[in-house]
Amino acid sequence: MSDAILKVHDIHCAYDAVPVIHGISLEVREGEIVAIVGANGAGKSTTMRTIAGLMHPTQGTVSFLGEDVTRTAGYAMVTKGISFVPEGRRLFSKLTVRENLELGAYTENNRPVIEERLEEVFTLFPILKNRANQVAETMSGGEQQMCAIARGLMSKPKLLMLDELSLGLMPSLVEKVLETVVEINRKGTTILLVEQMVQEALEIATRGYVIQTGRIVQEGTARELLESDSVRKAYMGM
Amino acid sequence: MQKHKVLSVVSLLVFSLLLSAGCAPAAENVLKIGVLFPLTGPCATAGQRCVAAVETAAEVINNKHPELDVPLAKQQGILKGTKIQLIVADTQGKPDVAKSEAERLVNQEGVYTIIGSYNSSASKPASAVTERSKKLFMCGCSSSAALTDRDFKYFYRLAPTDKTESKEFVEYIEWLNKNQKAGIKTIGLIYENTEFGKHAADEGKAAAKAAGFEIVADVAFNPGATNLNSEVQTLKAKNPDAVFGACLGGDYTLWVRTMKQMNWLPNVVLNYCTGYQDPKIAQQLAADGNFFMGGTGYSPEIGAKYMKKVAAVEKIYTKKVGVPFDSDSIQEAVALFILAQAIEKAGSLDVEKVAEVLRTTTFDSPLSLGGKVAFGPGGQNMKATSIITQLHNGKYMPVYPASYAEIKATVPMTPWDKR
Amino acid sequence: MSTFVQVLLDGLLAGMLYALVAAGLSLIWGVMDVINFAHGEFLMVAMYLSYWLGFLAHIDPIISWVASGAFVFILGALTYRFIVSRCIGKAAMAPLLATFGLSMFLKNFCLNRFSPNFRILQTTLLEGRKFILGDIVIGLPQLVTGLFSLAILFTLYYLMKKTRLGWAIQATAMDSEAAELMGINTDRIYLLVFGLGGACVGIAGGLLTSYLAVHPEVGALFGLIAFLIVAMGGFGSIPGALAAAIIIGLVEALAGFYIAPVFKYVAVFAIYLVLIMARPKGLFGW
Repeated sequence: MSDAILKVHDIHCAYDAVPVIHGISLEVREGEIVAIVGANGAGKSTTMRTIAGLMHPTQGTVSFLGEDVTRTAGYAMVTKGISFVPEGRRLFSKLTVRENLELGAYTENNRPVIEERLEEVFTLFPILKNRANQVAETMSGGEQQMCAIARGLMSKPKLLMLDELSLGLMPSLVEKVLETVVEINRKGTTILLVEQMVQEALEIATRGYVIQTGRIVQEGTARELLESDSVRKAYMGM
Repeated sequence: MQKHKVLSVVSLLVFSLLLSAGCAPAAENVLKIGVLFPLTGPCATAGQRCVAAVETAAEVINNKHPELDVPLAKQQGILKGTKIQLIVADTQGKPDVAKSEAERLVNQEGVYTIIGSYNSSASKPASAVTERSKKLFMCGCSSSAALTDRDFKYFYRLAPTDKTESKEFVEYIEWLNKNQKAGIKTIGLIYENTEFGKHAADEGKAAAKAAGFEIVADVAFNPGATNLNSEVQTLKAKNPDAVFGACLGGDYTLWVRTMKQMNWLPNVVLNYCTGYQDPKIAQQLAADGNFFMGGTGYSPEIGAKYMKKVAAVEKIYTKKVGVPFDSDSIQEAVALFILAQAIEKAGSLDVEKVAEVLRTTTFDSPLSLGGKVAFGPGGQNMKATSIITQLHNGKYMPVYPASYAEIKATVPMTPWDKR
Repeated sequence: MSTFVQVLLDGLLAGMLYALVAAGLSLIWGVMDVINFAHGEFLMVAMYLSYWLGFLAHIDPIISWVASGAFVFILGALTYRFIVSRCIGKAAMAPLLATFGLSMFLKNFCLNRFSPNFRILQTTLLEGRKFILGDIVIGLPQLVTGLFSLAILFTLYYLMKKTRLGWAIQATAMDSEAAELMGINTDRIYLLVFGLGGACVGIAGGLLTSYLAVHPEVGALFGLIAFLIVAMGGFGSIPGALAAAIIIGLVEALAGFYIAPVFKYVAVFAIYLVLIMARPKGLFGW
């Protein structure tokens, strides 16, 4: 069992002094797919944003590859090896697909390396190659989601964080996107994802955490969680 | 946190510095006089000079100046030792600000008189305030004839009006046609679209029409423009023989420069009391300002010849602002002198008595061209005259009336490409 | 006929100057959603710098525009660092009020230090030079300023559309948080944008001293016209700013000559109102 690359220790977070997370600890080990599941408003996205450096916890620590990154600014996390694909895709809507992808590799200045990565993501998502010069907002939801994942991969992260990939996608597409996530993982990228579609997420995950009102209420391997009665009752309607 | 505090203290300090003008220590037996001029805004240069001129007069009146041969110089203060204290206020060149500042000066500062306010559009509302409160308003150089057509009891104006200037301009053009075969038939006007500009233009048009000249161009513009291309283009297209101009400050230089760029000049340009009379602007325009003409109540050249007593007073003024008196600012000094002389003669500060003296006395005024001041109906100085000068390398050379003329005017003006 | 061409040319050249003045404002507004109220005063500061360089060091505006541009770049960057960045995320009016304060400070500082006198450089390389083609006169200073404006706008447009830095700026404008996730230091981008916006208006001011008098109030009307242009052209759009500026220049010249000079700003504001009612996002707006 390899060591954890990401360690979150007892973080508390607040928006405008209203606390929303009350002490969450979790860890992600190299090569894993870790799923954070829970209902709407449980604090999943806030946890992700905190790890990505978009906001800072009022208490607790985040460390990545042994380095304390609790107070590191969002833009600096990219160079440390964390890439975050936020909820709602957040593409640069007036820029082309290619420009979006190029910005994904903003921290990389070596042209051949950028071209190489572009080729890689185009192999993963062939549709994006055809759409390269199309303005992002003119694409369908599924294509935009692929573009967002591809953009997240352009910085060649060690840890890829995916927030609510399934949101607004047709069920058939959700499956396809999640398959791609597994493929990305197989090629060596560690993945931390947040999902409301609990079953689908846990099916591809190694381990999982269940969050409820800002606290972790259950954790374990994906199989354990899938078989747990409380999870099945609360989130899968069984 | 500490840094923030330091920052706010520093900025407060800076602000108080900016606002500290006009705070003088109070003394016993002082007579407060409000001095209300545009100290910021487009006419700030002129306004600040006017204030300096009033300060010069106050200094002469308040202290013993045995070396000066002007009224009240040899004694200390007026009415046996009452000193004049000036309260300076800013109109920003705006009528509404002028009105509210005048109210503040009268009601809160309790001034005895207001001297001001350069722009006719500011003098008008400000003097309405003093009139209502039965206080005197001494107006130096605002030139709109309308100001003295109001039959005010407490308003007195020193400078000649646009009306007298317009008449003089037309007279001079007729004289040029007769004596220098200038052949001027058509007249154009360019003026800022303000109380002052419009009145000047109206008077100019009336005077020109009465004498049988044809008005071919009538160009009003908004002061503080970014360019005067359309304005000059219009003049150029109508090509009048003579142009009457009422462009203040920066607009005057822009106008001259734009005419140069468009390579056009009329035969004669006559300017009302405007940028033309500002020696700094004349200096900046250098050769481009040559051959323009205008009404002038004072210039060092004229002073040296006809107003010899000014030079010694002027030294005090020049120390303050770095330039000699000009036609406008000197009138503001006269305004304070005449007021002080009237109070001295009335022997009291009773406003009715002082106003009576102002209405009935012919004052000696070494700082006025002609040497006398006497107010007629509406408070207009009936002795006000100006002479027409032409600018030659930064010097205002008198050209009319013939008795004052020092050179023969260059008419038509030398075209730009022949300079 | 030649008068018509002359009026058109005057309008066109005035419009090109306005475009350069407005481009910087548009950039700042487009990227940061911040109205720099001190924009006109930046122009004035640049003009003073250019004037003093010309007057004291005898450096012609045709050279010293580099210094004016650089100086206002720094002024803009400092404005961002010490004023605007502290207001961002507070009330929407905060940056507006803060830069309004800055504009009053700059105006009064110049009034205090340099007096309200009108200052013009007397002999510049361009001053008074002109091309005369039949009845048509083109002033060289205006022409040079116009060409500079086109060159700088083109450079700016190229920078925004074709370089990674430009994409990063656009990305920051569209979604600053997502840009942050790309590893873009958005604070640095804002600083740069404020500087670039300042540099544009700085260059305009530097060149203007060839033919316009400098005084503390000189920036006021330019600032106002720049706001109109930015709103008309579409926030953040460089081609929009150019198109709107030229429309304003032409309307001003044509209305000024064919209706009445005093009518020219009436016409300009009327066109502005009509355009904004018809297309609230501006000509090239998003």
